[in-house]
Amino acid sequence: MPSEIITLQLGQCGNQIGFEFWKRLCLEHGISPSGVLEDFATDGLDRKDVFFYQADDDHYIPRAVLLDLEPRVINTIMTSAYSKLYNPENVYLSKHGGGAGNNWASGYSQGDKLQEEIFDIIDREADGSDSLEGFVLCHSIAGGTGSGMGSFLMERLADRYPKKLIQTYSVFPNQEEISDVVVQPYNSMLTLRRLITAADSVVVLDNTALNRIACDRLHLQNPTFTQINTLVSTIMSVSTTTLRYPSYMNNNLIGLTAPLIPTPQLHFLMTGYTPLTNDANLSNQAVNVRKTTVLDVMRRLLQPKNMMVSTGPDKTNHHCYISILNIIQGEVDPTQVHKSLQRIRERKLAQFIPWGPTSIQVALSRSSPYVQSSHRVSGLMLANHTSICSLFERALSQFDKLRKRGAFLDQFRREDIFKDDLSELDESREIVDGLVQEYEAATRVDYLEFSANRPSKSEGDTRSEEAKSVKSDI
Amino acid sequence: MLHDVIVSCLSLSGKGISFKKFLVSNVVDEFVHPCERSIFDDIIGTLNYLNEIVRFAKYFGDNNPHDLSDFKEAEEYSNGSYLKNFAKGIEIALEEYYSEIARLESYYQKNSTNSLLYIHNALETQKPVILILRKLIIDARTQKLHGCGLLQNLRNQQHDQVDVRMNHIFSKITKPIKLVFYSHLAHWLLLGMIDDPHNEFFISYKHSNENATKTSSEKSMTSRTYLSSVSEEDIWQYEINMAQLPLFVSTILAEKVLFVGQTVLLFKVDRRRHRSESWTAKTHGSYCDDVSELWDGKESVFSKMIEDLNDENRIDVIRFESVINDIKKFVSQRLSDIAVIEDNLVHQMCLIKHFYLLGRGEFYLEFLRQMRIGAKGFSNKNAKSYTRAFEIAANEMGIVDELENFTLSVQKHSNDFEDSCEFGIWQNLHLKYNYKWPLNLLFSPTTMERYNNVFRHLLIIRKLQYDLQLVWARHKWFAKTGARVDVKIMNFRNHLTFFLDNLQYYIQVDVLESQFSILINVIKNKADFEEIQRAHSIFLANVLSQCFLLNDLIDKKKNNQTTMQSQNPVYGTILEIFSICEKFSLLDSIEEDTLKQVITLEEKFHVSILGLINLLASIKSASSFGPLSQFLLRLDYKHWFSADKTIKSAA
Repeated sequence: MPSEIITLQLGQCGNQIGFEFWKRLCLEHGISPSGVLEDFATDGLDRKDVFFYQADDDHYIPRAVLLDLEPRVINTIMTSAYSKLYNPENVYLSKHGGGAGNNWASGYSQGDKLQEEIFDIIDREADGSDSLEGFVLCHSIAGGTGSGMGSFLMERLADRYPKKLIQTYSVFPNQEEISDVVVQPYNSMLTLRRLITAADSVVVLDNTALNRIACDRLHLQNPTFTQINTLVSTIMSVSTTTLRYPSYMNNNLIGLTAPLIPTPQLHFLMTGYTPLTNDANLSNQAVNVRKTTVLDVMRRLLQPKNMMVSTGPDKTNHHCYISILNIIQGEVDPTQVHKSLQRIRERKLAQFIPWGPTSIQVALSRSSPYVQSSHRVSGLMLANHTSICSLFERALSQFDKLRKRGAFLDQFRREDIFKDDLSELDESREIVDGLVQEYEAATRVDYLEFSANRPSKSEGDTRSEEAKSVKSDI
Repeated sequence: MLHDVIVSCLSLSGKGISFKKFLVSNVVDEFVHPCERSIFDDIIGTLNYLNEIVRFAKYFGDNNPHDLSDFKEAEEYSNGSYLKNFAKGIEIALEEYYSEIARLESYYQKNSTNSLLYIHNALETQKPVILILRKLIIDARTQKLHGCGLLQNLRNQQHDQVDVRMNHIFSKITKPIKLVFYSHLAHWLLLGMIDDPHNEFFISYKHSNENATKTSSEKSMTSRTYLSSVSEEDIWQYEINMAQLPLFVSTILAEKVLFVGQTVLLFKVDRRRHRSESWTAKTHGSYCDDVSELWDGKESVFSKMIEDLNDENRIDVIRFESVINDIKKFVSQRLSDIAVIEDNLVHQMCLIKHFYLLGRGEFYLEFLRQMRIGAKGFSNKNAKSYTRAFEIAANEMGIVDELENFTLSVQKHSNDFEDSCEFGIWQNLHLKYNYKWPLNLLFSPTTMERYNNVFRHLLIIRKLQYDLQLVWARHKWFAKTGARVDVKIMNFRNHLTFFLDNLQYYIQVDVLESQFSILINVIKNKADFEEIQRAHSIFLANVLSQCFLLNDLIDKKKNNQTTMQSQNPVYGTILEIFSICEKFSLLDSIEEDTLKQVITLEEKFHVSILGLINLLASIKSASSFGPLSQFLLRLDYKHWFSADKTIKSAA
């Protein structure tokens, strides 16, 4: 089966959202928690093979690798109803079980030590697929395992599988609550560097925005992890829906991401989803069910309050869309799409980059027949928007506060990568800062000149020869 | 002597010798009083007419007309069953006259004192009939009427008559012809057969060229239909013969008749191929089963309806139409029941959409990937590699079952395309669909060619898109390794991708999705088959025109040489951009001189795209052609290209 995707779940957060994602996929494809296809789901026109493969007894096994350095979350998964779903050989827990102590450097060096065992699993998975298209990585950037080991894995994957895409679903920490992880700004900065250099596309899941949406849109007082994770799993499943319920376009990861990412660095994507309903609160549902039309959905997707990224107020109002893909599901009259596009253009609801042609791409997608929705039309937006740099600016300023004081650096120094000096931290800062500038430049007409004159990285020249040789057999 | 006259009146059948003798001998002068001379002349005149009529009737009505020689000139139109039955009708019409003469004779034998005038009077009462008959015969001879034309003429003449007696006579003459007509009609409608060796019915079998050489005479052809060895192509060879279309049958009605017959034929044709085993089991009467499946036991009802029509004195257009409509409605309702329920028409249409209209994007993606893998192994791409990649892709995707009716091949007929541009070969791809019975009525050979037209267009877009995506992946990889790809190249790649994506989005969403949903709604609303057929042709026509492929198709038919010039200008520009895309995707992104080449291509692209935008804008303002503005909206969503134009013109 071509165009397979292997999912890697890293750390506590990564495994939690990954678990929700697989639960959701099972539900959508009619696969029972033990991996057996339900009787009602035998004649589906869906593609299960992108994310699952079949064992000898025909039950479905996710192409998923579960990695963690501490056992808590993985144990929860393995004692749940879904314990038989995963291939037990693909679940990797470090033997000491002590975790990474929310320390990026610890995660990174543990990744280094464990790489043989981990890549045994990954290589086996990759060999088992016909023509692997890429990896999807679920992790958080703030903790220790997901960020540190995730960073290490991304670098290794980019080396080992140069022609495969690496997409990540990266959870950014909630800025509005005081984190118990004091070194979070360091962790974030170091992970961001790898997301910039090693990943091909990053879907940003901002906990700040997710909490805000849960409070404001779902009217939840104190949203639980499960409720937040449901939001995340919705986004993850809908953003892969064109792969799993294929239609005429966006049938593979490359087809999905290539139009969204015009230049290699600008690969951080925002998401938005509408309409959101709170399934837990049934009495409230009647209020939540609204009339939905394509225009409604597309218009709401353009509203910042529906974005799953908190970008902060854009005071100068200069930020703009680099690209938009709307995945619309439900009973859609195709003629409405054109009308909606026209209306959005008339009302100037979306501002686009001044240096190239763009428009709102709309993919009409089928949805699972087994999951009932109370809404006629629902939509997910995948957007490349320049305002995402405010997220990085925030990370930079927090990093700077900590770095100036030189606080909490001892635990980093203990690890190999920081043995000699702390230049890794400062280099990362520089690269992230470069990305912020690139996004700012992308709001201007002269972006192409900026991009052309950008100082090349020092390692660039040495590796271009290597690139040439690789290219020839692509 | 008067008896002689009467006898002559009766014995017209011969060569009229006895009567002619009167004229040559001097009997008339001797026995007829000069006063009676003109009366006698009158009688002779009438008898002459009669003679003419009777000879006509004898010549055409008898099986052995060889003893009469004076209609030899009529040979060309004379052997037809309509004419024969016309003659029969005339004979019947003359019966009244014969009985009148017989009465006259017996009367004469009783009273020998009757005058010539009495005979004259008796004849005179018959004269209008005789005159009309003669007129009809003259019409038939001068206009060389035969077949349904005769019926038409009769009906016209009858229409003019107000006299009850005349009407009665007309019914008599018409009746045998009507019988032929209705039996033809019943044969065609109920059995799909045309036993019409003289091309008299208004539906006829048109020989395709090869058929004509094969079948030396028409007879063998008709016998072929008789044996029900109908091949599928034969169905499309039946058409309306406008020359024989009676005025009381409108063209629309005739099309309905044609449709019913073709449907019946269809039930005969493919069922056999469909269930070849059962056919060999019962060699005879198998097609009867199939046809009766269509009629569902109702054929006796319909044949009774046609019989009833025949029993009527005159052809009542309104009743005729209503009967045809009833039958057609039944047949097409039945057909759509069978098609929709038993053969799952919606499913079939979805297959068409999946594979002709590239609805299964993931399958074609795999096909392209296989083509690419194949291209590495074999330096020369031959026609077979396409077919093989198609099959491998089907295997890979596990949809062999769905694809069992599809085969992809390369048609090597036209050398119009340069070998240098690769999508030239793609222009020759042909996807064949072995449609399931009874969809033959929907998918005529021209329809399939049109589908292929759209298919090739879409596949080329998909291929170029795929190539550009690979270029994207390459650029992304370079960035990861730190190699520099000039941002201008990437920007140009984005422009091309943008164009292709939007062209594809436009075709798939704005055109195909919306047109297809209209079509599916028609099918789901349990429309009868003819409505489905109509909706289907509208669907296809709209798709072609909105994909800018329509003019191309027509022009290609008209003149093969000047395809490039006669193409739809929009399509022409799109092709230009295609070739730019292709050239770009073949470039090596980090070679030194690539940038120069890209800049040249970019200039070309800008000219083309500006031309396209202007073209679209001007057509759009000239007419309210909706789809164009949809394409324009997508392509120029934020006025990038049109703004570009204003900057350039200002500079």
